[in-house]
Amino acid sequence: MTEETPKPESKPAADTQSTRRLKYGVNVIIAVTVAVTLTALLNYMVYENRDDIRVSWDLTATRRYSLSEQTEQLLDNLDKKVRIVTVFEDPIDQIKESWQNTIDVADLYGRFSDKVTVEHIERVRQVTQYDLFRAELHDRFEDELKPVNAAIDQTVANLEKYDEQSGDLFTALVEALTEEKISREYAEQIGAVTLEFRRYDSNKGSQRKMVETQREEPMPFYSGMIRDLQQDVAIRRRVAMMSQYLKAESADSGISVKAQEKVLRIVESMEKLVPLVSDLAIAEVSSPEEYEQLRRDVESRYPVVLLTDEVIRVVQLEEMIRLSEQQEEGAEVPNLEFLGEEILTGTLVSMTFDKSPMVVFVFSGGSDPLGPSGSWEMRYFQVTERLRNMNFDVQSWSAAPQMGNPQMGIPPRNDPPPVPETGQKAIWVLLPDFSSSDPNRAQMGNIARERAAKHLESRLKSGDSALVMFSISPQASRGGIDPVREIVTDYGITPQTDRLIMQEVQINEEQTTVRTNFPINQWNIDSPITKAIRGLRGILAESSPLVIDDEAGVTPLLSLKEPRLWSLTDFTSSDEKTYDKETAEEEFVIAAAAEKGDVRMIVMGNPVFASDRITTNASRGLERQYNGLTFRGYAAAYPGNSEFFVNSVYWLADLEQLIASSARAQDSRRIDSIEDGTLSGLRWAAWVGMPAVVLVMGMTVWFIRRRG
Amino acid sequence: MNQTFTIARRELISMFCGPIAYVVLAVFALGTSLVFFYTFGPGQEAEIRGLLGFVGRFLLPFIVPAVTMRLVSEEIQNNSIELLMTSPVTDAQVIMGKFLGALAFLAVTFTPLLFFVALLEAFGDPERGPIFTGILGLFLISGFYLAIGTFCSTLTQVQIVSFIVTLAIILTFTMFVDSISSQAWGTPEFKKVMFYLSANRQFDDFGMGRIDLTNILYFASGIGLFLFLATVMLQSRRWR
Repeated sequence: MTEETPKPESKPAADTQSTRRLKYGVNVIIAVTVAVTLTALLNYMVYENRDDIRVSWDLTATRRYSLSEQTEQLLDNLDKKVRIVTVFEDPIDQIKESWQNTIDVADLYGRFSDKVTVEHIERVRQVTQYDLFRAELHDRFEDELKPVNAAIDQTVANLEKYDEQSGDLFTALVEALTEEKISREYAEQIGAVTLEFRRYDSNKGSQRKMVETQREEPMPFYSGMIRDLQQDVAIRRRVAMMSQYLKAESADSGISVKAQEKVLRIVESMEKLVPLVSDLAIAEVSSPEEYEQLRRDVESRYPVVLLTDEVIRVVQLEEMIRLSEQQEEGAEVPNLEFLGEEILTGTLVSMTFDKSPMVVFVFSGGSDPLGPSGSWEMRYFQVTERLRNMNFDVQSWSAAPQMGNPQMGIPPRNDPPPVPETGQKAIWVLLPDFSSSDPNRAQMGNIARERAAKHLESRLKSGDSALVMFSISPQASRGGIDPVREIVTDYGITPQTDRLIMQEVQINEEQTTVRTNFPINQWNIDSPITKAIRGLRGILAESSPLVIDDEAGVTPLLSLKEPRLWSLTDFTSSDEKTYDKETAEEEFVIAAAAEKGDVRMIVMGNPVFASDRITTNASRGLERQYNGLTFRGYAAAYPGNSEFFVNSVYWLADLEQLIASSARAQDSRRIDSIEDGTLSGLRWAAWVGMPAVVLVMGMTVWFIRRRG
Repeated sequence: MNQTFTIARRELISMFCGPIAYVVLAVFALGTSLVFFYTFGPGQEAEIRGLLGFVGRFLLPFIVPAVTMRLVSEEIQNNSIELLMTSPVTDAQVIMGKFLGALAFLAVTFTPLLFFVALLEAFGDPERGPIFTGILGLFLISGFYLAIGTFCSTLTQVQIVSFIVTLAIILTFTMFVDSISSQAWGTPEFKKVMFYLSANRQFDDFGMGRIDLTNILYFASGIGLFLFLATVMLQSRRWR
């Protein structure tokens, strides 16, 4: 048997080039796909989990790109989607930095929370976005604007019918009376009617175009349209009314019978048209105030609009800045403090209220502090506006019974106080009883005061809070009992309304004078209410001291510490006031806060602390320095008073997070003065010198290489 | 590693032997000084945030393609790529070396910024934190664009094509996504993605004085990805 020769092993066929390319190509595709996927995945994971693994460093001196814990907590707990939209145009130098800070802070909010989206719209360059945004805001008021639009459409249609059917009545009237002998009185009436006709003539046919032009705007000015249409309706009604004179007086006018008939026919034609301009809905309808305010706000220069599905709030740039106390004389650009984060966070908090807190100003006599009449000293418009901007429901209630007027058939009445809804926090702001200084009104004042006290007592038992203001009281100095005073004494605070705080001030070596108005430059920093306003100016005018029971856990908020202070008891007398050692103190407490269980109370021995008399008092010096700047509240003389009041309300409403902590200085670092020659030299060195150096370097290298 | 640095050094020196480097340097010096002195004056803010923003948004997208267009393309065009690929260096080292060389060149290009910072220090009291973070951000965004340019340079031997493709990709990561994210249409999620992809937006934080991990990761991962792609493209030359 022969051995079989082993067959040579068969080698696999060599890969062709295309097979190799295919193999490597697929490898490459897979590798690239994996690399791209891994990169995308890594970025996605870090982005989605950035809350947990947030690592960032803020290297600015004032840490202005770091959100406070309070804001971070709020953003973490947001359960509604919020959109922040800043609208701007090229900012002027004075507020450029502030505006940039605003945009940066808004971006931080968007970065921190998925629930917050941020958008910046430059009004001039992003016209489409701006218009779309305004249209979106307009559409939110669709339901409220339906009756307005219906009234406008009805009026325009009726006015067009009126104009069409009236024809050329003016010409007809003139033709009828031409070459007629007319009495002087009748001629005067014709003159008056002619005027109305001319006015009417010039107005014809303009309404539809006006309305169409307005409606092309993303946010039409409905108030303006309504006003203009109401005027147009009034013009036509007047024409008809004036024509009645002609009819009535035509018999004695001296005109011919034929002319009289013509005039009568014209007037009758006018009378038939009167129903078209009578009882129109346009007379009763009005544009929603919220919409008009929003329109004005959005079209102002630098608004920041915050929107949820239910609520819209607009914060203006000037609300987010305030003048620093440190100002350079003659500086073109003022030093500002930036409150953007505090204001935005506060606004966000207010937008998430389930039930807006209620604030009720209770007055016992005199005019409504929130009403249109009444003196500046008794009004509280400025602080009310601030609270309403933060979504508080602010009302007023007169505890004084209304006597009525039997002769006019007006019965007496006692208006009941507002009643908070279930779960709604209410803060009762009791204004002092000014009427007690007038003996004639003392009795009515006493009744009102009793009513206010009774109501306050019952509301405090229900868990509401109160801010009670006292003024000096001649009644108290005569031993009268103030029932409200009795209530606050239970909280460890006793107002001494029979005393007026005074200070003896040296004018020169021989003469002294007394004063009752005191500037406030220092606030007690133990309370969050006053800690936040450290450094702000305030003023106290005609205050009474408070006696505090230290064991009741009362916190003094505001004290007067000046030399030669004393409290005057005989303030009604016209005798010269002199320093009284017996009533002198180093320190008088003017405002204090107390807590009893869930109930909070703040008592002030000053009657006009937050009235418009104080809070709208502008500082003339500052206005002169920055003339031309139009920021609201920018140059308030005593910003501390308004801040104190508003912060007190926030504290009483258990909403300390709304209290703006101290503003961050913007830490503006500016270039010092440079001589023109130096600046010019530096410019030329940079513009010409640097490129020249580069070119010389290049030429040198070229020469060297050429020679080498 | 030594080979990488050797390649980088060689690349840097060769850049200064050509005219493009000096044109780039001169343009950068002139452009930045014009912008800087537009806002440099008594009472103005002592900061360079605006200048860095100008550099990042308007200068770098054109300077970087000019720097990177010849990195690998020239080697391919001159057929010196074979020599490089047969030498005892890996493709990754070649790419890394060229990238680092280009980055070093950009570092030299940025020297006028030091002059401007010195002026601010001399005539004002600028915050140093934002200056430091701004320059850090500038290097990161430059690195990102350089990585894109390096990758595009491996795609073709024609330098101008490399320039154009680099510019196109950079503009995609800047103007294109910025434009998309600011349009009225698009879902919020889509806009968020576009917002995140924008190199300009990622860079803005550095100018403000912030350093955020997500920003650093964006640029680092972008650099890594494009350098990897460049390496893969270079490797593919062996079997194409």
